[in-house]
Amino acid sequence: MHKQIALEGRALVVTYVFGNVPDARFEVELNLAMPSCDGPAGRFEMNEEVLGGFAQQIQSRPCDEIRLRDDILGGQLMLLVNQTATLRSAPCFSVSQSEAGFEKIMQAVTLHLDWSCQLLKSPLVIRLTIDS
Amino acid sequence: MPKIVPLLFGVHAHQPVGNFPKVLDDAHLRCYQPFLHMMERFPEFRFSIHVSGWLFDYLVRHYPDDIQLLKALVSRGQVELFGAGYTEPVLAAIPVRDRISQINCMSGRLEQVLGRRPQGAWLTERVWDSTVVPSLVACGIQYVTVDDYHFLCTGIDQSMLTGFFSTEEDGKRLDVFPISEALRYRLPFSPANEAVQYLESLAVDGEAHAAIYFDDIEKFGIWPETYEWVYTRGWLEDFIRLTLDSPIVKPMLFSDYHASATTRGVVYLPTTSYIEMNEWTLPIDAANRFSALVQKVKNAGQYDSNKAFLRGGIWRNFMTRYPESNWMHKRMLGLSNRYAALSEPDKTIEMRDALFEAQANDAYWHGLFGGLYLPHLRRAVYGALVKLEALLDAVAPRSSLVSCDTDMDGHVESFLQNGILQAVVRNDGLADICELDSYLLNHNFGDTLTRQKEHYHQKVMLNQSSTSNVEGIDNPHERISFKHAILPEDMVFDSFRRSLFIDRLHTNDEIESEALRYRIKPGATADSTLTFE
Repeated sequence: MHKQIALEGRALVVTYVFGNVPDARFEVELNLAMPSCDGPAGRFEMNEEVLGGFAQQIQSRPCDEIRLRDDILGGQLMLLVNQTATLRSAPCFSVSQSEAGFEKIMQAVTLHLDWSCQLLKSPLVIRLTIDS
Repeated sequence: MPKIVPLLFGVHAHQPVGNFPKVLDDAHLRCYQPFLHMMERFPEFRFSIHVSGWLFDYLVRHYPDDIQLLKALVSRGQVELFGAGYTEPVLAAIPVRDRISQINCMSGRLEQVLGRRPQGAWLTERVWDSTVVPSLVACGIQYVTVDDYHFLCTGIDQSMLTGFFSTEEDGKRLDVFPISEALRYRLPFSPANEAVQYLESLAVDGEAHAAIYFDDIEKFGIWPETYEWVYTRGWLEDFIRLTLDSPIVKPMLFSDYHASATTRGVVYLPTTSYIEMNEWTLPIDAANRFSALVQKVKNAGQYDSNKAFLRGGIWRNFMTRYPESNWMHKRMLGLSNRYAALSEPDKTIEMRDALFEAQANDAYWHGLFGGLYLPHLRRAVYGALVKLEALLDAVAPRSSLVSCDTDMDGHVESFLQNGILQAVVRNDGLADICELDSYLLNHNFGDTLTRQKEHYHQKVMLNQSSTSNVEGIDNPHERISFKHAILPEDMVFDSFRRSLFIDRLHTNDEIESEALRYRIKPGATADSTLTFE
């Protein structure tokens, strides 16, 4: 199995080429630091539908593309895959202490993309485009 | 000769680079403004103040009237200004050239706006490392303040810590004042009359013994319960009036005391900070053992006399403790080196300011204070790093692919960049991306904190409520409170680092699988591409 990481203009492109395909599911995890965190300025969009804020969970949804729009950042991140994935998303919260007491802080949006290896007949390409 | 206790009263005002404007505005409203206005009413109450540079410039822009008030207090000799590194860096953690540049920037700014150049300096988080002495001296600083704990660690008796001592490094002399822990814990938490009685109790026959206080001004209005206590219920006014009415306690500027008193002698302080910080720097197992040891000694009634010998870690342990802190720090050092290597005409103020912002201490550490867990503070550091990198690339271009062991972990990282984006790939097996920068947005999408256990987590499930003093208010060091409800399922820790493009194969119904491991494919790496197998 090969993993290739490349930059193409405003896009990060990660390509996977499989040799002997096992009877398994292939999963890619992305932890993304989005400045809006669990605030109202960040949202998922898929096919022009707003799925919710970054703190909302997405459970097992077919996905060819998803947009993470962040108004605090003043930009967006578009994730495209060339073979339909099953997408899950969940916020990652830490527990820490400060002078105000124990608190939960959202550290990342965690995306999981997965595919049945048996269905991956050609190189799998994940393209992450970052726009202002 | 009447007994006199010179009260050297100093406050330190700081907000982290990148903090939210609403937080700064609230801090101004509940603390900085009422504090200064209270002081204006009592010209005889001499005090010292340090305002960190980023906050200072925010106040200059947004609250010019209060800066004019501060200037008036300086002009009438009521206030002494203290300097420091401009963005409140831990001086020991940045290169010598940047220490000097940061301190001179702050001193110059104070002189420009308030008309006075400082001769004393505040040390960020009271992190002492003797290597900072020559830089401070080179900037015209004559004295600094650290905790009395620093002195106790050398074996000096507590009773001696009522004036300044002298130290040197590389033959450069600097005087050092010991801040009284007893006063730090009393002001403003004990009732005002008890605090002043304590000050009066320090009087002795013969040479005047100074009471030395320098602590966060945020304890006067921002810390929990303190606004009502300090202003509404009148603690600060009572304290000032009782102090001025006292025949024994005499508020003085550090500079006046320094000019009139002589050194108590030579001292060589160990690398350390305040005692709580020394525990926070330790990894969890060591922190638990340290905490248990401290408790054992306390239970035996031996703590006060032996605490100097119960030393935890040092501030720079945070780089070992938190890989994210280390990564930011080493990225900052690398860019500082690149900036320093530029010819003078290529250097710009914009580059220097971005470097300074990347050196602000807050996002690099975590304890009861510190901002490593706060994404917006880390984002401010990365924003400055990414901006600086783009500025440097514009005058000193890099290759599109650079590989080196930036964080000194024994593994090479590959920096793949095209002037628009940068992906930093770890070549330690996972082939994951630990940093993904957008130069257009000045943002690192890979800035995620991996969740690790903290020694205080064991207190969370005890769900203890804070115990209140009969009089006064609780010191935050001693209280346990909850900003958010924490459930057992929230206490999750990561067995892997949180980055981008971590790959797994799940066979059958397996839920958790080990991350796939790769090695870089020899000969298959082009300028803009990395290939692993």
